[in-house]
Amino acid sequence: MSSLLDAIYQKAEDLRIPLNVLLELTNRCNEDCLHCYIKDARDINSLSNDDKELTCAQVTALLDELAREGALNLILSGGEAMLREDFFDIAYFARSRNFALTIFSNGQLIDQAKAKRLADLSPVCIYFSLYGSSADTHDRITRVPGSFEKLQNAIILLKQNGLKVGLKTILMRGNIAELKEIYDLGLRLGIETHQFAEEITSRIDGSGASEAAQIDEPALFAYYRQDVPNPPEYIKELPQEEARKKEICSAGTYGVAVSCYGDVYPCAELRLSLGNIKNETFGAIWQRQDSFLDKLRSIKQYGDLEDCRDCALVNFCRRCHGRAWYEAGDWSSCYENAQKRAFLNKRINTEIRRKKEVNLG
Amino acid sequence: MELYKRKNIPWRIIDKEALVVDPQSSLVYPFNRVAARIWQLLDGTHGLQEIAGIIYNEFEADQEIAAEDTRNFISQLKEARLIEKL
Repeated sequence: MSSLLDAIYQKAEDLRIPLNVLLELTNRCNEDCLHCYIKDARDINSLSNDDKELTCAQVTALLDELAREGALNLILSGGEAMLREDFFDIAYFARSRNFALTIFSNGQLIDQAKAKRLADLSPVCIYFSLYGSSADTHDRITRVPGSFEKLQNAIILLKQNGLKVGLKTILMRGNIAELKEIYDLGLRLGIETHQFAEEITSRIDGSGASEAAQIDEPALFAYYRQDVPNPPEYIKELPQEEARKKEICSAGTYGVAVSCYGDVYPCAELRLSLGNIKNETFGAIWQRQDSFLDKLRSIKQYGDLEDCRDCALVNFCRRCHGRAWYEAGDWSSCYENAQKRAFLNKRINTEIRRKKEVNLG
Repeated sequence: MELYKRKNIPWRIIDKEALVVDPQSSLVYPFNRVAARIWQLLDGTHGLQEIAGIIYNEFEADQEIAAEDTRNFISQLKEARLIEKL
């Protein structure tokens, strides 16, 4: 990052400007993915007014306020955001308020007409989740027959309309054997970026159901020992006093998430509600003195957390406040999966170093 | 000749500085206070000379330097295809 860009981000943090916003427009989805974190088992028809999705007027009022607060990067997400009949009304409104738009979708509802409307929005990127290199694997994970074919068609339509497309693939028990083929498929489809992740976000209903798809550490280690399309980067091994100065997640500083019911969260994973925009303005929620938010904002580096300060694995840790909250009941504490992953990262790093030394030798 | 920002360029003023995003290239441009002010003035109602005059007045800059800086910055914006002429 340039120093001016750094300085502007720092200013945004100091002034509590929510530069990056993730807005979940609905929890409804036309897929039923094995690992989904947001699955909402409630019958939406039975929800009270307080529990209902934000109306189009509430969403546009929020976007108006966010724009005035200085928010720039806006992700429209779901569920499947395009299930909302007013999706394009909301998206065009966001465009009119000069947001840099990114859209997360599963591609199931995109036809030629919608592809053209999406192109009119000039989004920065449209991201889809791709789980397999074949219908067999992808549809088994989405649990919707035909979803793989529809997704491919959506990507082709968006590319024909000059849009930038990104893919996200989560490594799971059900697809790890074909990651290379998934990566190659993305290249063939002409996508701009392909992100791989291996940690599955815990389901918001607390059922733990999504974690069943998670790959365990031995399988991940075996995977990363191969020649893979998403190789981990070498982590420079630092002495403890340096490693603990590593920057930590900036949740609650210049990033914010808003649920389809109006709850404001520090991020999509740390679902501790700061307030609800149905009851008060976003600004009132975001700017007020709040002991939780103040503490969250005061944590800048790993060494600011008691559990991390003297941890021998801190150099290899990629902890998440949200996962800590789910697993340990305390967003600031250590949790089992963070330790396991940090240990795995250390083993992988040793392997990378060994390979480098062999190549040099 | 009046100059204006290209349609659909997202941007925000952050305490007198600015972030500008080019959706086509995905690049994020950070602008300092002077650049951010020039960017704000690129609304189709101001020409280069007029913008340079405003920069000279508002930032108490040397007149020639203000004109040259404005010309150079606008030229960079044109190169990056962030602005168009009416």
